Amino acid sequence: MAKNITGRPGLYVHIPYCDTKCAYCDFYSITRQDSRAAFIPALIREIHSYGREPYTRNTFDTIYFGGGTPSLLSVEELSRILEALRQTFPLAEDSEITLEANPGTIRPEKLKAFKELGVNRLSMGIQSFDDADLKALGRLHTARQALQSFAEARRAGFDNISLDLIFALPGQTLKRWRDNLKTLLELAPEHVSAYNLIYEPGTLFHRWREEGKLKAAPGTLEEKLYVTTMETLENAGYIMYEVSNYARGERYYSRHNSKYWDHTPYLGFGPSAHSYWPEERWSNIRSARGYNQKAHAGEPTVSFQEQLGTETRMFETVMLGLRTRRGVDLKRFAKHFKNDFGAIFRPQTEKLIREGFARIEDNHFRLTAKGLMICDEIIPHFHHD
Amino acid sequence: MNQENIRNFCIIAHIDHGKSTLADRLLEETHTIAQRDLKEQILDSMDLERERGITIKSHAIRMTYEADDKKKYIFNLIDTPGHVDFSYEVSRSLAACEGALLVVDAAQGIEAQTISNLFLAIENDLAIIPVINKVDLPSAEVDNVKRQIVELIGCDESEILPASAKTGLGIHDILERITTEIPPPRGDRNGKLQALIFDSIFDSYRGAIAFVRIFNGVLRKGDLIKFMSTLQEYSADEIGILRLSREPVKELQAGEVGYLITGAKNVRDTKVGDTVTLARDPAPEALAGYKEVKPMVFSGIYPIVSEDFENLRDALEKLSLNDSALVYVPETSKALGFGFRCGFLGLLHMEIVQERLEREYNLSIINTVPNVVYRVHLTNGKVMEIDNPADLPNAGVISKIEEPYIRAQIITPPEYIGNIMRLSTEKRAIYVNQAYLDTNRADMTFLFPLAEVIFDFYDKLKSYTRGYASLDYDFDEYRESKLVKLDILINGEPLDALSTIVHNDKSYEWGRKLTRHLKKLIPQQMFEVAIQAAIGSKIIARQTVKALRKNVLAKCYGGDISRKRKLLEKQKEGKKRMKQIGRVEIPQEAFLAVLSMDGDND
Repeated sequence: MAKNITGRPGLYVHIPYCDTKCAYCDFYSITRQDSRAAFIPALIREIHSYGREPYTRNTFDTIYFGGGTPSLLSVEELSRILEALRQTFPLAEDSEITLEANPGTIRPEKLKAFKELGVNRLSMGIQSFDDADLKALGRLHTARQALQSFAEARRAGFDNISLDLIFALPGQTLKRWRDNLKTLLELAPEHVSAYNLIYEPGTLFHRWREEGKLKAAPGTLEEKLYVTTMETLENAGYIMYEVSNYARGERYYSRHNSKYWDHTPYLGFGPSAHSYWPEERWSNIRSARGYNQKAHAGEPTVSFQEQLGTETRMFETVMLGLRTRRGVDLKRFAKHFKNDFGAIFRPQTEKLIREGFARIEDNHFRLTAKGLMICDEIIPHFHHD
Repeated sequence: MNQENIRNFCIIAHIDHGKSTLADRLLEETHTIAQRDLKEQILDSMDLERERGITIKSHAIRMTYEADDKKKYIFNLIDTPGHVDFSYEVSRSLAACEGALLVVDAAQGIEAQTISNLFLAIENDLAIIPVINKVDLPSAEVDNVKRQIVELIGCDESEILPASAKTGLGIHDILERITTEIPPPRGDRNGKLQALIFDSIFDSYRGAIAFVRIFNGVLRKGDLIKFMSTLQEYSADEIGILRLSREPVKELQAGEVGYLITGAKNVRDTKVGDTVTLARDPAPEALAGYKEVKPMVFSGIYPIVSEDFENLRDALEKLSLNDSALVYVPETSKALGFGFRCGFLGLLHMEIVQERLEREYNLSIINTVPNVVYRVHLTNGKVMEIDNPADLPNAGVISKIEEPYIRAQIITPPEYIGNIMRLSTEKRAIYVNQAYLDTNRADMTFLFPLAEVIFDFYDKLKSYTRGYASLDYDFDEYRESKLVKLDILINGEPLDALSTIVHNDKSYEWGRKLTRHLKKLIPQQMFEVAIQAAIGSKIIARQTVKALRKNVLAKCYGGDISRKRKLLEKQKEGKKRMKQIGRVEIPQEAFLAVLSMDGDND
């Protein structure tokens, strides 16, 4: 097991507020602030509502503030939320507490205060170091501000910083992306998430593409960008531990995100937040006002719930496992499903191994670099009938 | 009932010209149904028929009519199938009648199908009562249509009845004319029993039900009867007449129309066109006109999931209980596994069967490209009939191949003659002749290879003539053609289900088009896919689907696993439905590539 993968449950808090809605983003976020006053008490109420068995029986070891723009929270707001979490759940001493921060939204004093409250990992939504890209994405910050915010975070003592970048932006050339990677490496963050832009239905980008106002990067370019990212970061010493995630050593793997990928339980709070507790998944309503009303009325804020049957859980295991460098843990698979992965999926695995798309190592079935690149093609083959 | 007061007749009309509505009106006017029943068109009882607006299987209905002369008449309206695939059944229905209503839409005029059925009726010596329907339509061109009818049957204009089945106009006149114009049957009730089966259906409770017209003699309940083509003997367990439902009677006499239920389980035992006689006192000969119906078009039907094979067999068995024209034998395809080679009367018949398998039996099926039956003469003098291109022997042992031709009649406004000539060239037709029905309608006759007609012919004809032309055809004869087998190879492996027999002159173009089209239908996958077209060992075209190099997107963040999973599960379902050929996954559409290919010119 990699150093930062613990098997202990995690906590997620969704802060939906943003200064502006980015044209590509399909996470639940809002720019109107009028629900915000009621939001913090609602959130705290929801957190408290989980203060019961079986949840409190476990020690949690991550808290993740996602959004939205959690860096817009005031020190006092963050402090109240953290306090509610600490009151409700047993938390490990060395918990990883991540906060997503947008460059330009967080002054040095606030950084320091957040650090003092216990935040020990920052995930910065840089997206690009190119002002033309940033403008196209609808980001409010500039490349200069990004660099400055990063420097300020370091000065505030953050020694575990993750930077988000997006590639395959409309109009982005291979060279521009290489320049981005170069700047990135100069900053030497502990962790990098490099996402391939997705035109999600419901986003402005999606609409603009449909309307012909912008053109998606051609497939061949996407492929080059992806390979370039992989090669550049790996050459610089980063480990690609998931299709879009890189870390400068195992201890910098995102402990929280890793839970999503191996069926470690997690609880999510706030509108649209997702939770998994074996063998159930659920998520909250995607409306801050609706969420506030329900939470205040003491009603459930959940709007989606599903029970994972064996077959679903098995498919998830494959789907999530194959996206990670570790692959599917065969021992764990056999223990959980009382059946051998190799026996269930023999034709698929044999074919993939034979063709160099996958291999079995250290009791894991994992995709090779060539396989990872087409994992969305490979995964749907793992049906048994 | 006195034979003098019986009238047996049918309605000849083109689809949509109002046959069913007119039939409903006649039923109403004769009080056969008190008022319009919930079901719109009584005579079409199958859902599929209703949806397509055509009558596929004929039935009959008996009405009692008190005429202006105060006499009571029995009318038997015998319905006829309305599609060219079923022309033999039409001919048998016509043979059961003494007269026919020729119904022509006042706005549309005469169509090819009407003409061919009309000629069949005239051949059968039927009295024709011409009716122009829908005269109340604003677009009606009554005078024009009258002229067409006069031209066609040589009647007097005054004999043509204007009618509107919608408003009821002319219905009474039609009923009266049936009594005066259509002769009564002239059978000998003391003669030996001869009853014509003009239709038969399968009923899950009663087995095969034959619809019969008694020509001579009397059929009594309990008689031991014999089917003269099969020589099988059965007891007439139940006989009766057909009103809205079956009404049992003790006997049916010469001239009457009714039904017959024996112990026969399958419509194959009660063949359309066969003659029923008494086993102990048989007629010396059968009524004329019986023929074995032979399927003209063949296609493989395969279950998408192999476990459905038995279900498919059951479904085909059940369908064939009611459809003696459907034939099927098991076959194996390297590409598609176990399935059946099925024979149909024509394309419509094929589509109906496919649709019923999917709808009524809930089966997911792949049907392969339809083909005709080729007559292959071997160098050793033997002759083979080939209904599956994959069975075509090596070119080396073939001395010649013949293919079936049809005689096609196309009726069209003159401005489309040029387009039709173009279509006929594309489709390798032999021009026979052309005549004008009136200044607005040309009647063209061609000989077409049937194989050309089963590929997108109707669609093309429609688009070339903006839907104004109508088509009718009949089998003509086998003729020698320069034909070759074109194989499709996927990564070097022949895909037997995609083999076709094509004319030599068209083979290169065909191969290029087909491979190009397949390239569009086969998605990129983990490996490069080579699509080749070959004649014998010679590759004549190639296309490549490049290997997929990248297919990975982020998005398993914020913990929303369900959404990503559902997306991939959907794709998983898609993959399950694909057929695995070697290591290549072929989507179902690819197996019908040939059908969807035309017009694909880039």
